[in-house]
Amino acid sequence: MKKDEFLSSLERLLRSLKREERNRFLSYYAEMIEDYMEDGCEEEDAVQRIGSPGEIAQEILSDRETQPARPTPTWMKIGVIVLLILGSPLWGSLVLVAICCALAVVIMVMSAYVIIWCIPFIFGVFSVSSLVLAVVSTVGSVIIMFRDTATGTVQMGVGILLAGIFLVTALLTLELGKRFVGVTKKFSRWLAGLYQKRRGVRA
Amino acid sequence: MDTQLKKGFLEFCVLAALYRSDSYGYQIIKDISVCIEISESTLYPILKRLEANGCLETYSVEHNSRLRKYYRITETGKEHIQEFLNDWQQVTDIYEFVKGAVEHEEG
Repeated sequence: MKKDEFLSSLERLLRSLKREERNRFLSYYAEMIEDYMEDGCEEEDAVQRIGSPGEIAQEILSDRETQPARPTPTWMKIGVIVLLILGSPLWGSLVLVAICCALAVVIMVMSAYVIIWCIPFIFGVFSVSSLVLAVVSTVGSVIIMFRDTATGTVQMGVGILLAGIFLVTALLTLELGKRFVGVTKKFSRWLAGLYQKRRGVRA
Repeated sequence: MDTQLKKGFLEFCVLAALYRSDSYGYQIIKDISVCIEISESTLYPILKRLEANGCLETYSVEHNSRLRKYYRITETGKEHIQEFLNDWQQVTDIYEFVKGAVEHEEG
């Protein structure tokens, strides 16, 4: 292998390093090969003595991995703390804004659920109240019937009408309830999908 | 030789090679090879570590129309060598201790 081949192959293998660091390795090995050649070695011989680019790159990369991260110097730690304190009016308000935004989103979602469920709830209220009224006026109409037949009859008619309204609204409530369970499920799934998509982008 | 042990010794060999005079990579390897085996890829991390510790500094010299990197030992590096030499009594004590244990077993 020629010197240029060796160096370009080493460069390719070390592309995960910063350019500055990679260039330091390359100039180190280039100098070595040139010194070997100056000492009377053939170019190919010199490259062979240095070793294969693959092994060298592997050694360099594994050596970097085992290197422990440099401990942060004390002055830097103090500096960071001072900056944090000095910057607190800025980042504090930003954090507050972020918390408020998050809260607003949660409240919006909750109110969306509430608004959706208002419709079946109204029908439910209608049906329950008409049931109560139907029972009261039908039972009451029997008592009134004894005193005043005409009023009693009207009262009973109203009672039966209310019973009908109860039946209709109860059925509507059930039907709407089913529909809205479906809608809620879809909405929740959509929300979950948004969340997962964002996580997916981050990952 | 045990690799960990060798790693430690090589550091002092490099410093010792530079103690005589400033030198460059190829020459350092040639000088050290007299007493201990060292490859180009082993030398690099040692030089880098010694430079990071302030034991040596570098400069470039033009040679045959190319740049050659030279290494120079610093005062810190010299102190480092001195410490190693001062510690030697302790190293021989350890050696005797280990040797004594083995001989006791055999005897």
